[in-house]
Amino acid sequence: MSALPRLRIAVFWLFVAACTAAAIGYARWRIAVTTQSPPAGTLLFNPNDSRVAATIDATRARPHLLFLSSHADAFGKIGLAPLDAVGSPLIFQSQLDCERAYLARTTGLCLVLNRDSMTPRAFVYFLDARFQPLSRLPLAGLPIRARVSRDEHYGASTVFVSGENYASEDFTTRTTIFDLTTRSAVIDLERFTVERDGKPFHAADFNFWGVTFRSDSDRFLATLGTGGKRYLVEGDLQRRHFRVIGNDVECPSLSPNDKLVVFKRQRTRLAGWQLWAMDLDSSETWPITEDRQDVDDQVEWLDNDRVIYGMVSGQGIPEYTLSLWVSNVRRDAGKNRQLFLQSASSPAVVR
Amino acid sequence: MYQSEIASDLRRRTSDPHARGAGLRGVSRNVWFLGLTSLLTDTSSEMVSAVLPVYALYFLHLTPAAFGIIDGLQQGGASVVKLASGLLTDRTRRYKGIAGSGYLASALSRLGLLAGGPSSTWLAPLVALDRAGKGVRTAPRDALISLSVDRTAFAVAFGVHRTLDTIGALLGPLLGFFILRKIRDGYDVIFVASLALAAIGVAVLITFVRTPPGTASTVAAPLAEMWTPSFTRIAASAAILGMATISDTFIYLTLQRNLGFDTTLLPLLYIATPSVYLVLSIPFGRIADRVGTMRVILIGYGAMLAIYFILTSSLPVTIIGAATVMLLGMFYAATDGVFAALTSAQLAPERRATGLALVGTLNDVGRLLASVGFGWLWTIHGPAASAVREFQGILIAALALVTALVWPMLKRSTT
Repeated sequence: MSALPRLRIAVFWLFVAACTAAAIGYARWRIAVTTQSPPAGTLLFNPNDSRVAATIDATRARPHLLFLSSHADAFGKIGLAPLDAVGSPLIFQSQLDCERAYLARTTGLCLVLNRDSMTPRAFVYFLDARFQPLSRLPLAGLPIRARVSRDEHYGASTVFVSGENYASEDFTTRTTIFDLTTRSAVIDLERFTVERDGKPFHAADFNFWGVTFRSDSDRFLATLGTGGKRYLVEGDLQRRHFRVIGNDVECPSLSPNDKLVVFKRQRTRLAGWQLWAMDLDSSETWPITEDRQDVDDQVEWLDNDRVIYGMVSGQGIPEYTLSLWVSNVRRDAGKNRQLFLQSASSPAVVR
Repeated sequence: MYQSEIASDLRRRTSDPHARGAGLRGVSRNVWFLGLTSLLTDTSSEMVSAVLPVYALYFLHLTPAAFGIIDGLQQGGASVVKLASGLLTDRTRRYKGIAGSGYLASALSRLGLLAGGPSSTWLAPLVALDRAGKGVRTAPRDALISLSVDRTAFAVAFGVHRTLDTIGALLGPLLGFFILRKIRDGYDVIFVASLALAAIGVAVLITFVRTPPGTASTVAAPLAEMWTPSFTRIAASAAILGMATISDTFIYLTLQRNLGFDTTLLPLLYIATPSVYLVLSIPFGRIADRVGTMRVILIGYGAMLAIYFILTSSLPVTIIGAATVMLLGMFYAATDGVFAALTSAQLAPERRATGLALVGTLNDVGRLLASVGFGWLWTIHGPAASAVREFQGILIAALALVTALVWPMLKRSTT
């Protein structure tokens, strides 16, 4: 190795120095740019301030919308707006940046991720009516869905688990049901038994996600993914049992009157998502939006005719261009979609 | 068995040709530099892989289903690419060139991530390019390692390489998360750092790694004369043992779903297993050079068998978790590099890249079948533990079959 020409070694070290300098230079430039120009100020209210608290209570006495802000400088902060004046919401200060949330009248779930560490990673925070954290539990994956039952007795969270789909074409999720009165985990849906056409049904690659509770919160609907297929399943929390009630249904959401389900459907694995509606009595389905939209969300019902959902749109960093969109579900409304609220995600409607 | 050892032409050290187990002294600088290249490249790869789920799911807002496809690309091997690259290497003798192009492909994928900006369109093709690069470089690199040392140091040389490689795999995530902690949404900074490390890795290869002289003869059809009795036995062993090996994923899933292992501790398992692997790689390599590679491999599969029994035992779950991590690290230390050493020893230098790729691919295919089989058993039996119990029998049978197959080698213990 001594025969190696000095010139060659000199070139090598020069190259190492250039690469190192470029990487460090870029990092320093990036830090400078980020600290020099903070994004335009979003006004944040302190929910512990007595006047703000009074406004919260007054707004919450009427039908209202709860959501997460996707402004770059208030990302994951909770927002509140009366349903008749959605365009002028209040966004609140918090120690927590929620990745996903579902807030109900007196309680709520906020799913948090430590994006910059390997462990500990994700938590579900149980919130009170003024969005203050009461306690938390660890989650085993990256948070993707949250739901609270209508009587606010149960909650559900779904996380994405990376690196487990070695011999399966599907992705891996874990969905947990919580008792919100004791703020504890009840069970993982993977432990439920499943039946299809009256016979037991099980496979190693079973995954559940997208829980939506019925008015009687012991029963709920969810997606079962296995072998690349998606089934609509109805769960019974007392019996810890699922029954397959439909095919090709993903991320269902039940209407307030329990009659319709709006869900996502994908033509191919690489195509975008399309929102569809299903009449639970007749099992009829019809599309409500155009094909090829990237709706990475479980829809929320605004009333018995309209759904709202978070969707990325426009230029820039996708997570900061999330906004809420509204679609009319009725069969005669055709495929439709309108902007509902800019820079928001994780909608929840309290009537 | 081929007695010609062309690497000995290259030897600049004195060693008794009858001595077995040259130890670390027998590992030439070429191997250390190949290891350094792998260390840099793996740091570069793993710092991106570690933050990729969060980058894709939250920053780019990709749906989990769409990211699942990319995640699958990450996990799955590029076996076909590996085999093709092995054949090409033996037909052209361009070890450095082909390995270098594999390292370069991974570096270019980082450039693509930077150039593409915050967009999910190119994510899947770029991850595929990175994985293809990994597939391309494996066979010529392993062949180069074997050509760079005397056969008395094959296993320890692969042990050195795997240790350095694994250090990179552990450093990468640490560096990635460190950058994210310092710079909010600093994914672009991670891609720049990753690109710089990958480029330096390629530079180390180009500047310091040499193709040993005396490896000039090329073979037009490396596969044709490969099937000597001993090579056939090894290739069959690789496939058979692969078919009896449960994937890490399923081992961890069994720990969680069957035994209720605290899932928030799982990331620790992913750190602990490679740590054990990296500590034991060189010692096991040295032992293998002394007592015979096949014996150490069988001990490694014995560790896997121990995992199967521990997973179905009634020990406290924390003990099962700790023992599984230790044994899994031991399994990799005793099999991965050692299998490459065993294979190299059975092949003429001009067929090594193909042979190494072939044995590696057969093992991969075996493991894939095992995963499918395990999933199927899990499905029909219900709890994972019964599927593990079935695999106890399968692995015992596989070990018996392989022991019978390689008995002549075990007795002579020259391999």
